Parts: sequence; structure tokens; C-alpha cells
Amino acid sequence: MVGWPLGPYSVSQRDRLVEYRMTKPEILAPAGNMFKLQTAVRYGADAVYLAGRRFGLRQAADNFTIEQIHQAVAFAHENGTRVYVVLNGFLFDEELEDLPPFLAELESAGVDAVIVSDLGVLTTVRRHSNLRVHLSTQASALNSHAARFWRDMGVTRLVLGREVSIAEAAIIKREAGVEVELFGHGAMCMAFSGNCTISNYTAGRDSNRGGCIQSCRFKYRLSDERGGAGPQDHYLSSKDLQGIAQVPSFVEAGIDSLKIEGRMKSPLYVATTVRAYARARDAAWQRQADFGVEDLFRELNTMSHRDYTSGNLVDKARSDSIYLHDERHEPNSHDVIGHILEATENHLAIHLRNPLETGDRLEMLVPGQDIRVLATDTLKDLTGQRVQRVSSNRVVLLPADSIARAGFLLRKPKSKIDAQKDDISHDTDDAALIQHHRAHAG
Amino acid sequence: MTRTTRPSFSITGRTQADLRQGWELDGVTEVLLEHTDLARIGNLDTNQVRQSAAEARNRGLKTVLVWDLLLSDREIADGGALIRSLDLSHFDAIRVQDPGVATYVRDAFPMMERQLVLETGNHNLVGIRRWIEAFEPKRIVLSNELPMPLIRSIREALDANDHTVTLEYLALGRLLIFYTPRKLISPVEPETDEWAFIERFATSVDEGKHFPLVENTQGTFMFYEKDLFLVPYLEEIAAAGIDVARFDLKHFEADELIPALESYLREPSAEHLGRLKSHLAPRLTRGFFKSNRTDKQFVKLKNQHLVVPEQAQLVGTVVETRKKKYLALMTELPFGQNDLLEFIAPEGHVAKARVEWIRDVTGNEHDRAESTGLWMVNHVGKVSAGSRVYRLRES
Repeated sequence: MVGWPLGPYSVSQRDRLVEYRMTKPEILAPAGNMFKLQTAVRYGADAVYLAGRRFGLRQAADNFTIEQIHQAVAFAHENGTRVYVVLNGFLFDEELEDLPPFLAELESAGVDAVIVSDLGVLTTVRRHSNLRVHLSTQASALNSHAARFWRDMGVTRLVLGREVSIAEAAIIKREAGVEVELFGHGAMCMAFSGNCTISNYTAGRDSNRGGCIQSCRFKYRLSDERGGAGPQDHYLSSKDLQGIAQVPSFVEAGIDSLKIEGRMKSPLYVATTVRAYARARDAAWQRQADFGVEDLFRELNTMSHRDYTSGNLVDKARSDSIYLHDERHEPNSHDVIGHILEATENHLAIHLRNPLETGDRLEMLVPGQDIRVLATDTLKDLTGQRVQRVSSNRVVLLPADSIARAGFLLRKPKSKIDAQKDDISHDTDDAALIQHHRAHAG
Repeated sequence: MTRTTRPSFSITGRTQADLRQGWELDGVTEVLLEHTDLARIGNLDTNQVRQSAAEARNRGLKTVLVWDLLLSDREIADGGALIRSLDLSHFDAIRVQDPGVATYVRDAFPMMERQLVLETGNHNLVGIRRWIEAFEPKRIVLSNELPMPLIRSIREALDANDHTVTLEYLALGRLLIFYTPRKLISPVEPETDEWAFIERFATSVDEGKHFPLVENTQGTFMFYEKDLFLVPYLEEIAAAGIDVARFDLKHFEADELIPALESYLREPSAEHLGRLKSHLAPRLTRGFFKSNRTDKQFVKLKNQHLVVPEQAQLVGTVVETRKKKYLALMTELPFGQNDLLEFIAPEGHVAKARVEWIRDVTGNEHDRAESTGLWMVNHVGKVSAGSRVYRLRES
């Protein structure tokens, strides 16, 4: 372990960590629909998680029909990617009755595991199938005693609560002898997961069966008395988790899976996060002293996001993990442009989500490689006519590119300044961690 | 099993004085003791817990030590040490929620009676039975999201299997709707002490709802703006099979509320009811006591026109339209000339049309679009970008 940049643990924790076996954590990506699943696979996810039409926590996501689950598993497995299906709602008895036929379909499709949070669901899965079971973060498993309990109930992996640090997760893994999965990136509940029922009472929508209205993101006024005057802010809102600097610690601590949140997020988000975390993970696994964390910070800042925090990955989340909106915050440096529908020897056909003009800097996200800039001197519409500008929800034809493939995501800088920026301007509380990394990288 | 007309009562309060007053209520059989370092919103120190336990015991009450925090390994070890220092002989039971804490208590204090809080989730009999088998609690505290008809069926099923576990349901108190270990008030009020017990109201700016908020050493807790008030329904609660109704008095002015509660329990008149309500929040709720329909709005969460039916043959999605010229489709299934397709637009328009011609992007004509990808077909009116395209079976 000499020379390897240890994660930012305390000395005592660091001493204990050398006992753990390094693990190459899988990069686990969200798949809100088929295109996002394909994107995750394309950009290097080792596993994806998705939901059917019922039993999950994202009723507003597209989700998958049974037929689509079969197709998704086939596609993922062809590309060496595992598929986990979320069944993490807190279900009532009548819903449980509908579960066994769905489980049979999942087994038939060949899914690699299901993710549950409810002991009734877990019991039903164990009774009616041979599916591997992962425990959802919704169950808020926070300690090794809970881990042993869930292990004894038949769970093979715990998606630990977001309150658990990397060091604590390593101890839980060792003590309980189960696989552990930690969130490495994405939006975070402020509350213990599964312990928030604001939506249930205020909106009549069960937050733990897919109806969360995200009340924690609302603006509130604090006062000493009911209805009193007081300052307004987003007191209950958490910054987004961003753990790119901690990826070497994931490897070193033996964390089995690094999870990216966001089945409702865009394909560009999926591509950007998977690509960044897979790069960091691969570099850490190969013990590269410098895995380009600054470039990856910059990559993760290209997307729209709340201010970043390392959450509880290193130490308990502090007051600076609250997302008190800073109006000066620039949420993203780049806009999505679209994705490639078709890449032939003659052209690239691109489906536009935002307008594109000739001369725009068009950046293509290439799996496992650097960003590639595509020429936009010649734009054509589907009739072959040259055009200067193409609006959103249109298809534009560009000259062929040897690297480009169908499904690749495209973006452009929001300003020419961003396009030329060399320095990082990351809005994260991890500056100290970057310094730490720099110090060890040499 | 014969059900009494009212359940027995379990009480908790903020201070020793509150507890002393509360356990005088007729029907109280149990007192919950909430230590600052063990309970989510505990206000008693070690001496106060010991004293209260001893006093309650002398009055013939059951004493329950509440350890309902969600905890890390280190915190569990610290809590275990504290409990040992409290002298377990003072208590008849320990109440836990975290399955890790429950496991720890089962292993470390095997002789102690366990009470298991299942208030978060746990809405089905299969799971509840499994919790009982795993931890053998003498009591389970059921979620207030469970309506009485469901509780009745749970009770019947447990009775049929000779389970002797008692069931508890919150009948009076604030409804906890949000629990985080993070401190959310003291960081924005620099003059406050982060180790203090802080109470505020958080008013949602858009909706004008006033949620009680508490920050203490354990984190931050938010409660529903309406207090749960099921006192008029105690007979129904008992009839459903609830053995113990909990009165959580710690958020109220107990010296005013308890006499009013006592009067109402003794004589449930309109006058006493009004007096009792006056000591609670301006708005009260029965919670999900009667029914729980919190999944009924799910159909509104996404555009139903774009939801692909389970058995449908989705050919693809329209990615561009050019009026009177073409539709561009991104396909997932092959299709051919003369196929009858159905187009469902995001706005809900439905159009059916035959495929008159098929071209690839370079303009070559095809009889069939065999491979999945980008294809152009004849324009169809009222079809917009984003429309789903299905193959129709022809009879």
C-alpha cells in the first residue's frame, strides 16, 4: 500500500483499512428508461438498476414494461452489464399478492438481483424466487448489527444508508460478511431514507411507494411561533453528493459497488457520471497516482446540479451540506444538445434537444476517451438542405465521424468563455480533498 | 380474544413533572422514558430516567426505556454502555426501531423484553410476522399509515397464529414526518447553541403550512402541521385490535393538556372535547385512521399518453415531423410498407395510418424498415414529435 494515496481517513481508521481487501467497485448506474440504460451500458456501467411499472419508488419515471425488461437484460448481458430491478416500495398486502408473477418474469428475463427495502417484500421474493436480493438504501441500514440481521434474512448486498462513511462501510462489510454498496454521486434525501413521509401527509402521495413531491426542496420560513415572520431559505434541502475524489477510498476500503443516483435524470447525466466515475475507478484500481480528479470535477460541473458535497463519505455531513441556494451559483457549464441517432459512413444524424447553429462547439462524449469536438460547419436537415440553425426536436445531419456511434451524447458550452476555460472552477466543498489528493499524487 | 372497550394507555412526556401528571390518567399502564442520549427527542438525563422509572414502578406501571435512534456501530456501542450504567433492573422493556439496535439489544440484553417500532413502512402482514419471528418482541408499534381495517386483519392473523404480541398505535401527539441526523436550524442561526434543544416552525413559503421543527443533539425532526387526534376513537381502536394507545405529550403544555384529557376520558362531552382540542394545534387530523389512498394520484405523475402498455408492440418514437412531407421515426421494431400504425401524440391525439412509403436518411426507398434506427415515412396529420408509434394487429 506504500505510495498509494490513501483516502482521507483518520489515522486509526486508516490503520484498520489496511486489513481490507481492495476491491474494484462496480459502477452502478440509473436506468430510468431503455435509452438511459443503453447509455449507461455504452459509457461503461458495470451494472444498472431499473424499475418495472410497479413496486418501485419513481412512479414518474418512464420505467420498463415486462417485455422491455427482457430486452434490457438481453442488451445489458450481451455487453457484460448486470441488471438490478428495484422493488423498494413499502408495499401493502394487496400489492404483495401481485408480486410473485412479476418475480417469475424477472427470473425468466435473467435479472441479476432485485433491490428491496421492505421485509415483507424480501420474504415474498425469497419464498417465490431464487433471485439475489440487495437491500435498498430505503431501509437505512447503518451498522454491522443491522447488516447481520439483513444477511440472515437472505440479503447478499446492502445499499447502505447515505449516512454511512466509506470507513464505516468497510467495517460493516468485514463484520457482516456481505457485499456493500454506497452512493457515490447524485441527489440526496436530507432525511434518513425511508423515514420521510412529508408527501404522504401534505400531498396524499406516498413518498415510499413512488410519490415523493420533494418537499425538502421547498423554501421555508423559520420562526419561533406558528406562522411568525422569519428568514426564508431551503433549510431542508441537501446539496448533491459528489464523491469523485473519494473513489480511491472506495477501492481501498473494498466497497463492492459505487452507485450513481438518478433514474429521473437525463441521458447526458448518465453518460457524464458513468464515464467520470468509471475513469476514476479504473485509475484507482491501477493505482495511478494521479487519476485526473480535476478534469473529472470539471466534467461533473458540466451538468446541471445543486452545489456539491462529499456528504458522509468521509465524515459526518456538516452544516455546509445544506443547499442554501446561492443565486450566484452557475448550475452547469454546458447544455445538452442531443444524441446520435445514426452514424454511417456518410453522415451523423443527431436528434436535437437544444438548438444548434453552424460554428457551434459541439462536444461528443466518447466512452473511455477524451471529449471529441465535432465539426459543425455543415449542417443539413433530413431533406439534405443546408441550414444555418436547427431548432430543438429536430434531426440534423452532420458529416461522418469515424469515432462516433449511435447513442453517443452531445453537448455544447454555454458560453465561449467556458469553451476555452482551462482552469477548474469547481463549486464543491471538496477543495481540501483536491489539495489532499494533490499532496499524495506526487 | 376479547377486546376491552378502550385500549390501555402508554404515555411519554418532556419532563418528570409531565410524566407524574400523565401517569395519573385513568387507564395508563405504561410510561416511556426518553433519555437525551437514547431517544430521538428525549429530555431526561440519567438521574431523571432512573428516578422516573423507580417512581413509576412504585405506582405499578410498566417502565419502558426508549432507544429509537438510527445509529452507527460506534453510537450503538456508546448507547449500550449508557444503558448498562442506567441499571436495567429499573426497566421492564426496551423500545427500539433500528434493526441493528434491535439485534444488539437481543444479543446484549437477552433477558430484557423488547418492543419494536414498526412505524416507518411495514404495511404488510408478511413483513410484520417476519419481524416478530426475528426479534420476538412483546410489543410492536404500528405505523399510523395503517388504517383500522388493515389493523383489524393484522390482529386477526396474528391471533390465528397464537402470537401474543401486543399492538400499539399513536392516538395523540405530533406526527413525525422527517428525521435527519443533520442539524438544520443552528447552522442558520449563529446565535443558537448547536447542542441546545431548539424549537421552531418551518412555514412552507408556497403553501403556508406551518410545520413544527425540533433540533437537538440527535438531529432535526419535522412534524406534520396538524396534530394527530384519535382520542374520540379509542373504542374503535380497541375494537380493531390495538392493545395500547400512545399519548405522546412531550410537545404540549402538559399541565394544561393532561387535565383536559382526563376530563374528556372521564366524560367525553362536547365541552370537554372543545377544551381538550384548545390545547392542541389549531388543526387536527385523524391521519390514515379511516383509509389510506396515497397511491391513487400516481397515474397523474407522468404523461399517460406516452406510457407504453404492457402488451403493446412499440415500433418506435417520432423524432421529427415536416408537414405534408414526412415523419422521421426512431424505431425499435421492424415495420413494412402497408403496415397499419397507430400514433399517440404527447398531447393525446391518436392517429391511425398505413405506411405508404419508407426511406432511409439518404433518400433510398425500402419496402421494409428491417433494422432498428432512423427511418422516414409519409406524413400523418396531428402527429407531433415525441409521439409513440405502435403496430396495430389487423383482424
